[in-house]
Amino acid sequence: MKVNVHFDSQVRRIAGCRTVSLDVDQDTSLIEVIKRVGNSGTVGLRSTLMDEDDSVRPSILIFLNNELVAKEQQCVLHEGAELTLTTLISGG
Amino acid sequence: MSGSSFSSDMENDFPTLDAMELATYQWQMWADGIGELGQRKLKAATVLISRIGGVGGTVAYQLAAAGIGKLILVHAGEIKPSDLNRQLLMTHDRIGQSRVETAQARLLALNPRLILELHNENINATNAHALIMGADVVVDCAPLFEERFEMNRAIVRQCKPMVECAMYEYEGSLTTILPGVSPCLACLSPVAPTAWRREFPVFGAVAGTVACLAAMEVIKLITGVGEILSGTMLTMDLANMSFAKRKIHRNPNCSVCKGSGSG
Repeated sequence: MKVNVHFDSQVRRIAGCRTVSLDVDQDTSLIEVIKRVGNSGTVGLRSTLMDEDDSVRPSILIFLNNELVAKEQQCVLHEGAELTLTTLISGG
Repeated sequence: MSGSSFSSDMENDFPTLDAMELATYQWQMWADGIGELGQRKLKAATVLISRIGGVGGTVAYQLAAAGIGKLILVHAGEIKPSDLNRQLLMTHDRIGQSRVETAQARLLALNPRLILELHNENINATNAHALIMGADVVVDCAPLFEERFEMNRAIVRQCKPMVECAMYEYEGSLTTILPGVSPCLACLSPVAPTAWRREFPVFGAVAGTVACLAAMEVIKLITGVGEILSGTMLTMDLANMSFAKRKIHRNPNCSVCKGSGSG
């Protein structure tokens, strides 16, 4: 199935693109998708998204279909899911 | 949600308007839900703005134009050339001079009735509580997460609403924090993003767009009209003019607001 992963703010700058479309297995978890994005080989992306212990950094905001998802939430994605990875911004 | 800290409809609770004020605000008093009582609520209100740069300066200007009674402006330092692409209260002839004093002159030229309280300092752990004590509504426009987190702690302690607005490059974000009701800043992110840097790419038009939306949140909080962005984060990307309203939730284990209010 296809899911779209969007990058906002500084995550986008590090990812180097706005969106990637991924083909993933049915019932792939949200965390698995984030790890796959982090391991895509883009310099700096993995360390931006993940801690040394392979968990999502607390400063990363995960929106699934425009709703914030808690990092500890076990969440399975469905066909056409729209995932956004971003952080708070602070420009004033 | 709708609602307001100033939801009393007891007319005697709010100062009356003089002839000049009635003339100045006539067109906005025609807006649905405002009227003379709404304008008097604005006149009665005190709003604290943390930093009056690209976002906060335009928030201040819009609120001064709308007839807010008092603004508390908190921003240290003097004007630099690199401020002038976005900080519309600052002017070239004042480079090297105080930001808050320059803002004072600009705001009073627009609205001589405005009461201003100036603080040539930034929000920190020592001053946050006392500064916020004097405000009805707080607007967070600081460029440093340390300041934003201090503000967040203080408004949760005092149960004051805070309009949380920020920008980066072509993007902006906006939400209104009602302590005990909607997620606080630490619910969203308990720590600063690792990649955040003090100096960031910015156009004045992006900062100003976020600022005008933030000013409307303040006006709605005070007058009770419309719906505020409580439990919702408005995000925008002006590079492709995309806007989204994203649902956000309180963190039941939040180190700052856990145990406050409902939920």
